Amino acid sequence: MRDELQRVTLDRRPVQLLAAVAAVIALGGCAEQLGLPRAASDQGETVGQVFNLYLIVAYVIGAIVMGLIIFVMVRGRASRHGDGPGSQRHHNTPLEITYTVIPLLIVGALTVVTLFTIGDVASDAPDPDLAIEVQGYQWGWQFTYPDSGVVITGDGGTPTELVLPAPATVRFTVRSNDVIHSFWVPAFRFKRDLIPGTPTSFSVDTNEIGTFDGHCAEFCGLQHAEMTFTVRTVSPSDFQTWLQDHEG
Amino acid sequence: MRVEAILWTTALVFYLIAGGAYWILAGDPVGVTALLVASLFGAVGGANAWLWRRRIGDRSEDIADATIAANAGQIGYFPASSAWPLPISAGIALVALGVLFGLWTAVPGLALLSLGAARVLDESMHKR
Amino acid sequence: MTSTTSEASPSGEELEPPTTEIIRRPNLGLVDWLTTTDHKRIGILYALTSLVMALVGASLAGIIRGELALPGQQIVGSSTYNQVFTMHGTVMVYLFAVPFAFAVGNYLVPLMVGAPDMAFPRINMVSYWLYLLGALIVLSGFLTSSGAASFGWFAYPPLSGQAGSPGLGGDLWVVGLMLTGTSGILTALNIVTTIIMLRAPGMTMFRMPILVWDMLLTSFMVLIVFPVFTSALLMLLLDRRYGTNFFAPESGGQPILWQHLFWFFGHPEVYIVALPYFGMVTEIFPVFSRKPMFGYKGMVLSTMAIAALSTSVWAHHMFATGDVYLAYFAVTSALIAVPTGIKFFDWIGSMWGGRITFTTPMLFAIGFLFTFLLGGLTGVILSSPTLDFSLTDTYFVVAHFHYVMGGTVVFAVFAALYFWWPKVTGRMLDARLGRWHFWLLLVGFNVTFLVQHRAGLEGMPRRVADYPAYAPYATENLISSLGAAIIALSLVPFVWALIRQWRRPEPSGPDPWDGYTLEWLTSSPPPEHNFDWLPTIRSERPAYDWRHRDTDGVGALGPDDPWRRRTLHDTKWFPLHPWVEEHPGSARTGPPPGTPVTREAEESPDA
Repeated sequence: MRDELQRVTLDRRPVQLLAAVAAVIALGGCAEQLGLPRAASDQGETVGQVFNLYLIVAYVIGAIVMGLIIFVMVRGRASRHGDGPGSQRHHNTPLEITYTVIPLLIVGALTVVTLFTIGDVASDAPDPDLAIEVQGYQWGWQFTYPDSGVVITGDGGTPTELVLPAPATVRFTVRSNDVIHSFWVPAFRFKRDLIPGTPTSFSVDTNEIGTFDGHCAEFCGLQHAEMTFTVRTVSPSDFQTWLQDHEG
Repeated sequence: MRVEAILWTTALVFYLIAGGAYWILAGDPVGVTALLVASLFGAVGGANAWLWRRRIGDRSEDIADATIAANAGQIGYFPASSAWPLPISAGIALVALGVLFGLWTAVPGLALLSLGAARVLDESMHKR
Repeated sequence: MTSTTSEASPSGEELEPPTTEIIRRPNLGLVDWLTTTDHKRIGILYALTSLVMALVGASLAGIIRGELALPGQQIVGSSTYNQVFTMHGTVMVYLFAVPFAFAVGNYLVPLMVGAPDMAFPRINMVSYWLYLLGALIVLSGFLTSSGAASFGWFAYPPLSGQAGSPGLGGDLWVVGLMLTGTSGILTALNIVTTIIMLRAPGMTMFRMPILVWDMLLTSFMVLIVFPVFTSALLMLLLDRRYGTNFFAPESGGQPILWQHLFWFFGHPEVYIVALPYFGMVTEIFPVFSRKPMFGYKGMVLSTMAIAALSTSVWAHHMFATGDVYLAYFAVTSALIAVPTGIKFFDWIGSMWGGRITFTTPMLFAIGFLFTFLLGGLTGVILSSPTLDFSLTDTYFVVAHFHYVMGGTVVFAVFAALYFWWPKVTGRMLDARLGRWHFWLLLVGFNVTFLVQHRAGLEGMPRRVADYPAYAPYATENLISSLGAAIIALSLVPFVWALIRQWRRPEPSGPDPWDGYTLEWLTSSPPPEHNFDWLPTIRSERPAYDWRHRDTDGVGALGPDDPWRRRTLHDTKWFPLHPWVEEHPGSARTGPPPGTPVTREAEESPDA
């Protein structure tokens, strides 16, 4: 990501404005999160709002178009009109321009919302509360806390547990030495591929205490399906205790 | 050939713009190369179409009120059957498989390929 | 052969289009098929081979759905499962969807533009053999001791490298796809040349059927991206067999390079798979609505826009790598929704105010509309990187591309099969069985894939052989597997209809649907080199205009137009197959050349 992300992180004021518009549209339908499981991070909540917006727009457009198709079929059925030629009209330029411009506006608006939220979601905080190094391998995970020297390595049996404080800004650096894996925690609504030879980093602002599933999301060979882990978020004080237990 | 020429030229212009924009924005050499090579496709096709249009003008298929009779006469050679496509393809496959099973399979492969190519050439020259 | 140009008398009475019986061709046996260079036979070979591949791919899908039906269920085990889903994707995308489009292109493009054959008949057959051999080589991986390729259909290195997947199956996958890739390039070249050089007089570019436009632009895309893919495969092969390091990170290679090269091919590939099928349904909607195509130019321009944009959106498959410029690809990917929307409204416009008959091809085309609508909407959601980070590589994506590449292709394939079957064989397919087939497929398809959206949102990653019993998506998987069974069941009426038309053929005549395009003016099946006779071409519906040439205000032409001056075209237009010359009249739609066309001449049977 590095500098690319900074470039797409545009001025913040329109972001808030658009997020407000998005939230109004999203809340107009229902206040709840549609479809996705509960979020456990600030980034996840932003994703949830954008997803609500996109989903409602998709439902509305889908309903309109599907309604149109059914209407046209029912109205134009030959059993109602008898055989014979239909209307021989083969174009209507103003209408065609209309149905080019309207989708363009809708898609444009959605894309603007996306562009203003990419930077929030794929963030990379320079000064995190906690740094974690994630190493994926065939087929397990190793989580390193470089500041305290704690290393948690999967043993192939029970899912490896990643313990994080919440609320906190956590910066992950992901790397792999064999094949491509992908670090995915559905509750964070984010995933990042582990490309061998190219470590990347991103940050997550945890805000929920609980236990969440994590998967490898990029197919990585024989035991890809078993390459799971769990994320347990605890309060910052509990986290310090946990860290001290595992140090040394 | 006018519409065809415009079609290729559009491809050329589009890929130049897309490649240029991508170069400035992302600076990723792989994508830039791919897009610029794609623009070459437009350049080659477009140049060919414009040149032929200049040389022969509108053909009967470009003229809106042409009659079918306008194309009377032989328009090409279209054999209804030929035994040689199979040996040609088998030859290519054998050469490719040589990478996996030892390059010796490339020997019969190349033999089939050249035999087939020669026979097809012969067919075309004698309109068999 | 004499050059004859006979014109009709001014009264126009003898202008009935020639009627045709089913032509019994001499059966020259298997050799005739193996050495053919006739585009129609090659098209049939392509279609049969790709449908066999579809059956292979569908059987593999059956194994996948069986394995995933219940948590902990092991039918084949992880190792075989990985081979199975890899080959399912490979077979469906590379060996079924693209070749079937080429089958239709091969059969119909020369007929629709009024050409005697493809521009390069023998190269055409070389393409077919390369495709068949390539397909067999890819599939032969199952016969090796280490099994078939098992690195997913997009073969990300280092997993697809020598260290990640040492078996012979992977090498066979690479070599086989290089051959089918070469075959695709040759076919595309052939289609472009045919469309540019062999159109009938008066068939201007903007009178070509939309299917021909779509095949042309698809071929353009093939010519741009298949060479990239084939060379990337060559690089992968060199990495695997000769120790080069294009993609191996430990020696300075770049795994991400493969992803760029692959998706530069892979995303246009999605549209290479889609556009010809859009073309097929575009031919079907107007015919059964008794309307002209609505918004012809808009449709052509939107196809061009899709073809162009699709080659600059590739990295939206790579958002999660954190190594691509997100904004560029977010904008271009979202933009594709606009031309796609135009197509939708053009299709609806083609039915608007029509007289719609719900024949089997029309039903399948409408099924295509519904599935494509859903796939398109989820596509807009996935184009947003914000959401894609969360949704990519989950079953949400699996559901999305099964709607856009699976459902649409399958519905369009059956629409095309039911629509052009009479043209290809001269026999009708049973309409009642066709309706059963349609409804079962529609229900089965949606039961299978609609719930997969939900499974993905709930956190099911793709390409897993198993999932824990407590997973929230266990129920969805069971429903999905039941849906797959319904899909399998839907084939029963289809196979029954095939058997029925085989045992008790119902002759279709040359034009059972009142079609619009030139192929309906020749016999069913068409003779060698397609046409003995062509009408004057004055619009994108020459066959419709021909039928309505005497009706004021219905056809594109009034009664005084030069339309009436029908001309028999010269038989020297193309050299006929020797057999046709020995049996004059036996393979013809109209009267032999040189004979003045009169009612009496037509009524007297040929034989």
